[in-house]
Amino acid sequence: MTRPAPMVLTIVPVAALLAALQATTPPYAMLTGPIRTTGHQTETVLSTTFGVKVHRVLKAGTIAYTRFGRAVQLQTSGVWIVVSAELRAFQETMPVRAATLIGASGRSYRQSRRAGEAPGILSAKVVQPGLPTTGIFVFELPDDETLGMKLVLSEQYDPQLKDEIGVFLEDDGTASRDRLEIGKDGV
Amino acid sequence: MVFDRERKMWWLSLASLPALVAAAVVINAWRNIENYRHRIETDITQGPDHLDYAGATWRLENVRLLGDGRDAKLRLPGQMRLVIVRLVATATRDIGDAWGQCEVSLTDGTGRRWLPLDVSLSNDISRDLDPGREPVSGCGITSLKPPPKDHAALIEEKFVVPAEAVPVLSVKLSTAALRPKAIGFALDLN
Amino acid sequence: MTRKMSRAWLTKLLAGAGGLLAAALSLGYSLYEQREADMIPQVEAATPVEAGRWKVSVSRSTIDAAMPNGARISPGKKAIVAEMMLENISAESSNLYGNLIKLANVHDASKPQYYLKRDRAILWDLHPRMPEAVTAVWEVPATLSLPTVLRLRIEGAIFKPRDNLYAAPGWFPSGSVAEVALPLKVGIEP
Repeated sequence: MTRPAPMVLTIVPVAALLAALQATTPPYAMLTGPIRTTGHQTETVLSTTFGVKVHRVLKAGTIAYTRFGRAVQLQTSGVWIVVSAELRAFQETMPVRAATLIGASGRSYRQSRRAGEAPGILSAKVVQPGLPTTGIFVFELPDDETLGMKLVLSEQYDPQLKDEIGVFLEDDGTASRDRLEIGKDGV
Repeated sequence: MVFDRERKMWWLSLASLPALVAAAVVINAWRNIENYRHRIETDITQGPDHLDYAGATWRLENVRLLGDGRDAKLRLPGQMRLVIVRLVATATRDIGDAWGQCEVSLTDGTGRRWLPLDVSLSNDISRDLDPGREPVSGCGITSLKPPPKDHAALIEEKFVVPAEAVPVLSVKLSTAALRPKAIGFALDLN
Repeated sequence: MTRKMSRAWLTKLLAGAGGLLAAALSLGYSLYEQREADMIPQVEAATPVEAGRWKVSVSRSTIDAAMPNGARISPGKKAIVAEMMLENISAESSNLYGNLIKLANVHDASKPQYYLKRDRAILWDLHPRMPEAVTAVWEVPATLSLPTVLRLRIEGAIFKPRDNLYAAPGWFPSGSVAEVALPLKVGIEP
């Protein structure tokens, strides 16, 4: 019959070893997560597959634009943030569908689908290699989240082993305007 | 006696575990690699005129370059150019679903790759350029109802590319079943 | 010999006792769960309820002949409309409110469609710390007889930083957290 002492002496260290391995292994979700590149608003931030240059960050209480000849006005319980930017693709025709703002508290705010039909929305465009394209991303946030924001872009939300670009936005302290008109040529 | 056999089996099972785990990993990896190979184009047959591929003979029918003001007096902003590629495929056998997930793209020498415009935008442009005629379908739609044996199908795809890439472009075509094999034609646009 | 016999008996006895204990624990746990389920806290209308990812306060419910965005409802159907304040109390924008509220005393109701009052349009994402007035609409057959008091069950969700399959963070259902009873009025047509 097997004696208990050596059995315990084997099982306990093996269990400890396995527990240690499990605790120190990076989770699958992290291993297959995004390939991150970060930069500042003052520079053009480039990853292997695409790049972004943020031009302006505007705050407004109301945004207004024309869609199919009909005037649209959108209010928010917080504040609208409109980011104008230039995107470029390097290797292949690709969209940049996912845009998120990380607010002051660290919460993440995806771009607002409410303004999804405004002119020049970048996430509705397809970026062709060699042809930089400009446009806007539109977000709504509570006012106190708008300091020290970070813009995060990728081809799709929750990218796996794909490029993700983060851009720290300037706190230029621009006052929130009451109304921002989004025209065909941007803001 | 019985104990001996049981013990032998136990040790055999334990010893075969690593081999079985390794085999499982290899089989899984092999499957993934196969899947990946059906998504990439690496084995490209470049042709001057006629190429046999996916049960048909392919040739480049014609290529239009728009945006510099020469063709259709169309001027596109900045470096933007529109390239319209037409291919003709004559079926040499019954095609069935062999053209599934057909992909057409433009490439330059440096590894950049342009994918065609989506169907609705492509059709809108066709109607603007030639209001009287039905738009010619792309490869994806044609693959759903391919031509019968000895019949030909005309396929049109539109691309937006920068002007500097135009002289070195070539078109590539591949189907899911045959990838990584693909065929290609140089466009010879100047 | 007797010693060996008694040992075998002891093993059997232990195994039997273990099995019985497991069965008793399982039974006790399911009884406990059943009791818990019966004890869903009842809340008044317009009381904020925290349900993990969402904070919701349902204020009233009506039977309507039109959708909140002005669209007609499907023929042969009527709409149960519930008005509420809905706030995302998680750390990221989300549109996964489809399972938040269930009709406890109307059978076979599908998932509701949510509308944003501010825009009179379909609700997409709700952003953290930005409560909005929204309406949930359940379409039910027009012939279905409805209770005079509608009981809505609010389903909770729990955040796990590492789930059991991929060790990825995620939200998982955690059972009903509250039930609210509302008089179901027939809406006045606009």
